[in-house]
Amino acid sequence: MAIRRSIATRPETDPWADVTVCRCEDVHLSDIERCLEEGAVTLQEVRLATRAGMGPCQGRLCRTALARLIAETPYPEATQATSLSVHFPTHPVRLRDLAEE
Amino acid sequence: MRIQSHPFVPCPERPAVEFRFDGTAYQALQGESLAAALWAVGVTALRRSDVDGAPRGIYCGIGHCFECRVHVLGMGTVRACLTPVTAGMQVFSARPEAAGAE
Repeated sequence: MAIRRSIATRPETDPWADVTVCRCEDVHLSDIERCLEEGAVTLQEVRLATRAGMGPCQGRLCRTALARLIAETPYPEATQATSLSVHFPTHPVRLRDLAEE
Repeated sequence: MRIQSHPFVPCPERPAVEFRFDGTAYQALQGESLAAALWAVGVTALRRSDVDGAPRGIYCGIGHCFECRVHVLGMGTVRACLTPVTAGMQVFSARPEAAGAE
């Protein structure tokens, strides 16, 4: 599939390996592909369907890959620009620490 | 395994401190990060994935990815790569209540 060839960074990298896209939520490339095939055309839709970008790092590591993968959608005419929403606090903070400041 | 000497990075003598990870006592060097201390004693699995139980450890090492998150009694969830070890620190791979400690 085009997605897998486009992300292979070295010739010896197995293009069929199911790489982890979102480490925080254990979302693999195959999960994203399935989501795109089922008609997700925005980053937010992929995020809501797979939880990619919802973990502790709030998409810091995976948002670039997700944006690239969205570009590989089988429905390019339906793709809309969105951004992944990031839920504050961007660094997890205990309420106790906020209250004591 | 630690680097004992280096051509240009100073490796000063530092006092040892004891801490616990999942109940097991280890020696660390004062001031180093939890991630470094655990790696030095061969502990590279800092937690297990909630989804498939796979062991997880340091990934970015610079505080961005939260892959190295551990639970420290009295501090809550912290990133091991950013948290300096203190004497008597009690660290857990899962929430202490879940592990039966506390």
